[in-house]
Amino acid sequence: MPRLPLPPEVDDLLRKPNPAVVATLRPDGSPHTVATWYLWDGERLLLNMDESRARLEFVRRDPRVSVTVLDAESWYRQVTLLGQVAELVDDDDLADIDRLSLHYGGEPFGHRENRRVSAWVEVESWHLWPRE
Amino acid sequence: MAPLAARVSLEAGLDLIRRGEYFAAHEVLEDVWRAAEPAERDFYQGLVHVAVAWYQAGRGNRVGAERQLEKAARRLGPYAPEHEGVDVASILEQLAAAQAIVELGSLELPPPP
Repeated sequence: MPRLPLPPEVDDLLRKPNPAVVATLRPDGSPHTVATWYLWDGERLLLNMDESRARLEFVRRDPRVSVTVLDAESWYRQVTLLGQVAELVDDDDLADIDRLSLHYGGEPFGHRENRRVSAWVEVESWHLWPRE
Repeated sequence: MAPLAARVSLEAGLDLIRRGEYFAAHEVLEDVWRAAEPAERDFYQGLVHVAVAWYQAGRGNRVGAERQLEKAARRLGPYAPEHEGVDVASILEQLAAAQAIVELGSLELPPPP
């Protein structure tokens, strides 16, 4: 499957604040999925989570993830990315979650009590459905 | 890839860059890069980065553009001033100019060589 850069139709889909689901792996190998915000910078995907989230422990143990992004206008159109969490960064000033929150809702993130962590995902392969 | 085929693909890739067909240029140049001899690989990979930098900038992918410009300059540097008939020195100048534009916050890059 092709790597970076992603072709225009995939890049377009990822740049919008579309609904997405991220899959991680539990220690017993079973899949764990959850809906998520994401931000695509053209090369890597930013995910962000409360530091108490189970999936943070899962990706620390096994960095492999899969993310499916659904076109909000027609969810039958979707792109799935396969990759690895290349970097985990403490979001100390909540700058990353604010970027995500502004992207999705136009306002800074509301819950500012808990510590959060950013995960930067490097894409290794992808597929778009339906094919274009 | 035979030398003549590589030559033809290089010309095609550069022509696609000049026409602003950056995604297609990257695909053509990537094929040349993958088939290239070790001593030539950085040259072709550098040209792939040039194509991708302008592609990313055109799509508003700021971080992607920044990273690609930097990688392009790093890979192509050792091939200056000229390699395989390509004016590498001129490309490096335009990469530097593009990096300065991106640093100032714009993604409106002038057309590459």
